[in-house]
Amino acid sequence: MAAHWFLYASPASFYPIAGRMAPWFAAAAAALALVGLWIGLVVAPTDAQQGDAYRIIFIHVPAAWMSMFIYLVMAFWSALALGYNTRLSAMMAQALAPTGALMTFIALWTGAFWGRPTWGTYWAWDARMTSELILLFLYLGVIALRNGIDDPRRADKACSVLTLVGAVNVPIIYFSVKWWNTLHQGSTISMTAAPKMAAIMVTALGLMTLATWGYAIAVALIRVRAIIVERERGASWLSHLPEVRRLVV
Amino acid sequence: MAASIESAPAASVQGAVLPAVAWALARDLKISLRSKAELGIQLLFYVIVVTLFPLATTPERSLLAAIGPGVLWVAALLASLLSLSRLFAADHADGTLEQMALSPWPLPALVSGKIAAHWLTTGLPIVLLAPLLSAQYALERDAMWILTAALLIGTPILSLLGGIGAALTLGLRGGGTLLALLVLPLYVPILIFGAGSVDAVRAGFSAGPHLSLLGAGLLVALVGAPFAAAAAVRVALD
Amino acid sequence: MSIFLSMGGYGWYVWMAYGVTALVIAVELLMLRARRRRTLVEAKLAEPEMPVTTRSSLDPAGMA
Repeated sequence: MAAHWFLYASPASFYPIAGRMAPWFAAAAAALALVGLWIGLVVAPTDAQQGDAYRIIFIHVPAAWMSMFIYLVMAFWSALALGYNTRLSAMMAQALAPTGALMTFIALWTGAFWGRPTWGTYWAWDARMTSELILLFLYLGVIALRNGIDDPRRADKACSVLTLVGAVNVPIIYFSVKWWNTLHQGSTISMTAAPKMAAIMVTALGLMTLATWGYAIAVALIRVRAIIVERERGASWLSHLPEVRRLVV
Repeated sequence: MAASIESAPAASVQGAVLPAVAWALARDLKISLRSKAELGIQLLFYVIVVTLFPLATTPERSLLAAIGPGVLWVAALLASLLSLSRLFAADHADGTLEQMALSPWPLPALVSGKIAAHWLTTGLPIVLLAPLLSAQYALERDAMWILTAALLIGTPILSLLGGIGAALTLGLRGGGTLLALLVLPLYVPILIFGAGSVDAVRAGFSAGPHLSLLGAGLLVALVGAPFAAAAAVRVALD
Repeated sequence: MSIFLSMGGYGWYVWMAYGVTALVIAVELLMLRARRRRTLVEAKLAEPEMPVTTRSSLDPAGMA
C-alpha cells in the first residue's frame, strides 16, 4: 500500500491524475452551489429574527470552515514535505495557500456584512473575527515567503517550517483573543447564540459547504498542475504532453 | 571574526548542549558589544516610539495610563524586530553559519546561544527601561512592576520566535519587511497576555494568570523554537 | 424580482456579501487560467530540443 502511494507521489504521475479529477470536482461544486444558492436564496423562508440578512450564512460559514480546514491540510502536507522530503507534498501546500487566503477573506468580508445588520457593526474585536484576521496574515506570510525565495526547494522547506509554526500558533491565538475579549468585556456581542435553523436552511448550508469543498479541491488540483509544469520545466515528459505539443508558440 | 568557530573546543562535543550555548552566546555578545552605537540606536528607537504616542493622542493622564502598557509592548515588538534581521546575517555572509551547521556541535544549541545574545542586547535593555518609560504614561507603581515583569518574561519569546523568522528570511531580498510580515502575527498572543497583565492589575484583578500563561509560552518557545530555527537555518544553507 | 433583490430591506448587505464573493472567486479562476496558459507556454519554450517544424494546431497528427 505504501509503495502504491509513493508511486503517485511523483509529480509526473500525479499531473495526469489531477487533470482527470479536477473537472469532476469543479462540476460537482458548480452543481451543488447552484442548487444550494437556489434553496438558500429563494426557497428557504425569511428568518423570524434576522430577516433576510441571515442568508449570508450560506457563504460565510462554509468559507470560514474551509479557511481553517485548508490551513490544517497545508500543515499536514508541510509536515510530510519536511519529514519525507517529498516534492509533491510541498507543491500541494503551495497550491492550497492562495485558496486558503481567499476563503479567509470571504469569511471576513461576508462576516462584516452579516454583522452590520445583525449586531450593528461591521467589525468587532470578537475572538473568532480577530483570529480569522490573523489567519489571513499567516496565509499572506506564507505566500510572501514563497515569492521571496527564488530557489523552489528552499522555498518548499521554508514555507513548510513557517506553516507548521503557524499551525501551533493558531489555537493559541484563538484562546488568547477570546480571553482578552472576556477581560475587556467590550463587545457584548455573542455570536454563539445562533438562531435555531429550519431543516431547509440546514440543507442549503450543507450543499454550500460541499460546494466549497469541491471548489477548493478543484482549484488546488488545477493550481498544483500549473506548479508542476513550472517546476518540471525542461523535463522530457512535459514536452510529450498533448497540451504542450499542441501549443504553437 | 576574531572569535571564529575554530576557537571552539574540539573535544567530544556530541550532546554538549550547554557548552555550545555558552560558546555561541559569549561569541555573539562579544561581537555586538563591539558596536555599542548600534545597540544605542535600537534603544533610542524604542524610546522615541514610546514618546510619539502621547504626542499623537493626548497628554491626559487617565487615557495615557490606559494605553501605556499597550504602547510599550508594541514598541518592544518593533524594537526587537529591528535587530532581528541581523541575528544571522553577518554569520551567513562570512560563512561562519555554514561552519556552525557542519560542526559536530548541536545546531539548535548554537542557535539558542545566538538568540540568548539577541535577547540580552535588545530585550533586556527594553525591560530595564520600562519602569522609566511607564512614568511617561502615568502608570501606578504596581502596574509599572507588573509591566516590567511581563516584559521580562515576554521579550525572550519575541527573540525566540523572531529567531525562526530571521532564519527563514536569511539572505532574501526585502528580507526585513518580509520578516516583519512573518513574525508579527505570531507575536499576537504575547502582546495580548503581556499588555493584558497590566490591564488586569489596573482593573483590580490579579496578573497571575497572564504571567503564568506568558511563562508557559516561554517554556514552549524555549523547547520548540531553537529546533525550528535550526531547521530553518539548515534550509537557508542548502 | 425587485422583492427578491431587496432581500426584505437587507439587499445592500446580502448582495455586497454575495457579489464580492463571486467577484473574488472569478478573479481567482481567471488568474489560475492565466497561470496555466503561461506555464504551458514556458514549458513549450523550455523543451529540451526545440522542434524546427511547428505543427499546425489544426493538424490532428500533432495530437497523436
